[in-house]
Amino acid sequence: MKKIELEIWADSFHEGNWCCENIARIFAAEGGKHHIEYVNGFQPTFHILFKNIEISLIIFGSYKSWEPIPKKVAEILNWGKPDFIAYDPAFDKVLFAVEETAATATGNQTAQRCERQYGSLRFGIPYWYLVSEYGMHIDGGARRDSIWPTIAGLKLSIFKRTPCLVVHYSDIENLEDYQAGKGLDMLFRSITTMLRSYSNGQPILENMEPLLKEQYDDMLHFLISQWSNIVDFLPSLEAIQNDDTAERIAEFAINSPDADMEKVKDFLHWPLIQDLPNEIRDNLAGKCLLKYDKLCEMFENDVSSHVAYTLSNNAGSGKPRTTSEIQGYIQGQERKFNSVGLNPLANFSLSIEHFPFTNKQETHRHTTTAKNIVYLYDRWGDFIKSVYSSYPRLQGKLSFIDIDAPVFVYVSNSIKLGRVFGDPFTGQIAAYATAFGKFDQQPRKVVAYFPHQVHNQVFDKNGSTNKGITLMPELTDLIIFHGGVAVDLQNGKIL
Amino acid sequence: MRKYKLTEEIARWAFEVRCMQSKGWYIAFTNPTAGPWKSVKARAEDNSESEIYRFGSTEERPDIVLINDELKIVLIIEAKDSIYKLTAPNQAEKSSKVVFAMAKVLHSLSSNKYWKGRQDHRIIVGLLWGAESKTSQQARKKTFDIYLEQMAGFTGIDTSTILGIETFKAETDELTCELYFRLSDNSCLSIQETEIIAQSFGINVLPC
Repeated sequence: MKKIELEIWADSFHEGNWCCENIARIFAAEGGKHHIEYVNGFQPTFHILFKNIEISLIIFGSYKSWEPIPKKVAEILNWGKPDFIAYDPAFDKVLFAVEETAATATGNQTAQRCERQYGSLRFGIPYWYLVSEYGMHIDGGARRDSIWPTIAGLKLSIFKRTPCLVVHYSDIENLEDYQAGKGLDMLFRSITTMLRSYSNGQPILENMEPLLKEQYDDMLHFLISQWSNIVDFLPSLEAIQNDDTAERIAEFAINSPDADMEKVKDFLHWPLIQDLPNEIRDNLAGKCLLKYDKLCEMFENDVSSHVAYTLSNNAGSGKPRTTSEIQGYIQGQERKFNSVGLNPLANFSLSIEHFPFTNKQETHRHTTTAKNIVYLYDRWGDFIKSVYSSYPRLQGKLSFIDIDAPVFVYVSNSIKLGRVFGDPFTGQIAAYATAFGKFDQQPRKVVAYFPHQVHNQVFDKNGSTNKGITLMPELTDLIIFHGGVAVDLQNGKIL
Repeated sequence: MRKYKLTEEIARWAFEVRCMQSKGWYIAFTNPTAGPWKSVKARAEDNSESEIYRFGSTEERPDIVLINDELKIVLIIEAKDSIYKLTAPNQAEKSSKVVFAMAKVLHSLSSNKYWKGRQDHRIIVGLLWGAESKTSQQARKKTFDIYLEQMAGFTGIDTSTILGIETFKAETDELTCELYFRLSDNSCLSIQETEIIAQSFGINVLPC
């Protein structure tokens, strides 16, 4: 009998055990058998017997509890922790990574886990994100999953020539129910197919094309039915609705010689303003801010002037905060702020009076500046014109990028100290940078703007690292902080 | 060879393995960070299983909730990677409140199809800790005393009983679990029952 021993690295033993139980369940349905042995009285090892092969899966639950973590697993973890990762110690090879969530992410959490998606894909690791399509919001109403992880997954599959799937479970009648919908079955059918091929000595993605095609087809159908609830238009709608597109993407995912970039040219590419649908372009108009910020006002003015566009006329606002909460956050930022070494110096100007009340009782205040958090500029030159006008101290410092390069600007209104490199911002930047063109054939530059966060947090980690510090230099071209202090993380420069 | 640190997660998981291998115990809730484990579940008489309670996103949760219908016991467990963390400042107060809140939720479920029939189950507080060297009788006694004092006056739980589970890591890396108990005058459990409980988990039992 042929034997293969694999390690399942997991965020917790529960997740690792759940993974192995589901793998064993699928093999059992096809005539396989399994038994579980507990190494050292606690570490589950699933021995799965299928035809003439024994696959042993030993679980390493709780990443931080183990030493040494295989280098290739640790590399992935630096970019965010998937819930489980399969690793073959005999060949020092990561086989796949999976993130699963029991909830439907809503609001600004919708892309929260996408830094893991990007992290796995950058190493060429097949990745699945199992998420509830329909979930219960805190207000008691039903919510449907966002389109952004799906869009990022489709585009990463093409750019990185590696499977990157978003599979949905639940349905409108059975919110957050793992047994409803296709997602759970799809995920573990895919995993067992890969394990079967791998243990037979075949390439891991051998026999996967039909399954991948089916999953990409589901992702495309999800986009078709959900995009209009989130954005005013979606590029490539014709291609998304074309029956052949799922197969084209699957060809890229398995890195087939048939994968032809021409066939997916400009797929989900957000166009320049002149190529927007007429009704979208004609209706571009900036909106009022909830809380004043000069640069955000310029962004909105630029939308009115048709040098930038936004995605939706229906963007929501962030959670209001109490006066004392905001005062505490401002104090935290002020304590951290230090302008020494900057030329010209920058000013700290956050003040509680700048945050307007949200209600007559005057208990809560807005921290949201513009409701939009995404702006797409055709030209870097137009973008920096607004930046220079808002922050004269940056005048002339941002000309290191081609003025004709298109730009994606991400705005985060976070104000609590430290809310820069963690959740959900890191995931949002990963998803949006991918979705809006960081890797497109005609790429967009990526800028993040944090009007309420001070720059001193960036290089204040005493050598320690986290997923945000790992990810931002790769995915952003510029970050602008409070007071107009810009940071070029790729070159480690504060401007 | 990969080595492990005895974290709370591993100490807790080792005990859950005993629970899964036992015949009488049902894990109604366990508290890893995410996944399909974020809600409390129960089995109805027909053996069907369903969610009976879902915690709010900021609501404090116990670490494990176990049900044994044969013994008519619900065990609500707080876990730490060492016994000393169970007695850190304010920890006993915080943990006791979490257990009390969980018990209150369970008492409110009398009409729930999946909880029905468990209204009279005894709700007992459990403490679980990891140990790389055996804890002293003194440390255990002090911990149990602090928790009994904190629980005084609470209703809906047995404030006279504490069960403690020590997950011990031997030099060989093997993990074993032991059960410790404290039964005060009004305890709803007998010594014989603690022995039955330990037996059901397949672990040793000692008084504290």
